[in-house]
Amino acid sequence: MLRAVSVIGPRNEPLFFRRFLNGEPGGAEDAPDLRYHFMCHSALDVLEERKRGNQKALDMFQGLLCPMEEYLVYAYLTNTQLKVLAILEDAEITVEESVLALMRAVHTAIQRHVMNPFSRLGEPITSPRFAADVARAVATYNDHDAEGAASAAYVAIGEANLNAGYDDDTFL
Amino acid sequence: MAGERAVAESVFELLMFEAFRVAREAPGGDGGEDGASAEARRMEVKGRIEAMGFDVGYRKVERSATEKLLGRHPLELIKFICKDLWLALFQKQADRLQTNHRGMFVLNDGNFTWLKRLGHRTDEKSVAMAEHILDFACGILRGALTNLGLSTAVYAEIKELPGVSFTVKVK
Repeated sequence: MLRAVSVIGPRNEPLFFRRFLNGEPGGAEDAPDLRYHFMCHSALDVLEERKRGNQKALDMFQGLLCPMEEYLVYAYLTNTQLKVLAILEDAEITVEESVLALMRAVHTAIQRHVMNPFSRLGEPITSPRFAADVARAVATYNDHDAEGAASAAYVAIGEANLNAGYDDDTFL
Repeated sequence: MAGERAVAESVFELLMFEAFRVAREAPGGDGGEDGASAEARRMEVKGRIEAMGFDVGYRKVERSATEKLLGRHPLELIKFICKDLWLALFQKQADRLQTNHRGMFVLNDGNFTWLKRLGHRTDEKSVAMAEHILDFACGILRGALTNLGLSTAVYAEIKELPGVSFTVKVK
C-alpha cells in the first residue's frame, strides 16, 4: 500500500508532497504527516551517502533506500537533481517493477509540468493537473499491488497444499 | 511516433522571429538617439532574448534528459548537450567539441540550422537577426546546463556563415 509520494528539488527543498489513505489523497491530521516528512529527510541522507560512495550507480531508479519502522522508502533520481520518494507500507511482497512504473509516471508528470511555460520554475508544484497525474499513478500502483498480493497469496496456498500432500485442486 | 505532436519548422521560425521583434520593440527605459542609450537599449534587448532562451533551455532539458542518469562530470553533460539536446533542437548533432579540461568548452556547428535562412547576407537587418538568434541559442544552452547542475557563461561567434562556435565557461 502506497502511503505517500514526495518530490524534492535540487537543494532538497520540498516541491510536492501528498499522503494517500487507502488510495485516496489523505486527510488533514498533522502528526502523521510529520512522520512522513521525517522519513523523507532521513531517506535523503541515505541518498547523499549513496551518491558520495558509488559514482557508478547510473540508474535513475535508486530502488529501496531504507526500511523505516513499518515503512519502506523508495527513491528515484533525475538528471535535473529532482528526487521522487515513495513511502510504502512494508508488506511481505513488494513488486519493484510496480514501484518503478509509479516513479516513471511521476517523472512524466513532472516533465509535463515543467514543459508548461506558465509553471513557475523552482517553486512548489501547485498544479491540479500534476496532482491528478500523481493520484492516477498511485491508483494504478495500488491496483497492481492488490493484484500482486492476492495472486501471490493464491500461489502460496497452492504450494502449501502441494507440500502437505494434497493435489492443487483442494481448497484450504 | 504515436502521440508525439509536431509543428512545421517554418511556423517555429516565424514565431521565433516575431518573439525577437517583440523583444526589440517592447517599451523599456528611455531610448534616446545618442550612442550611449542605443547601446544600453541593445544590451537590454539582448538580455531579454537571452532570458527567453534560458527559460526554454531549462524546461527543454527536463524533457530531454530522461533516458539514463548522466554522470556529474561537466564533460559528460556537455556531450549530452552536443548530441541529444542539439538533435532535439536543431535536428542534427553538433559537429565538434573541444575542451581545455579546465572548465572551458567550445562547441562547433558548421551548419547551424537556425542561421540557414540568412544565407550569406551582411546587411544590417540580417546581422541584427543573426545576433538575436545566437543570443537566444546561448540562453538555451545556459538554461539547459543550469538545470543539469552546471553554472556557466555561454557566448557565440559566427565562424563562417552558417557555421557557429559556442564557448561555454563553467563557473
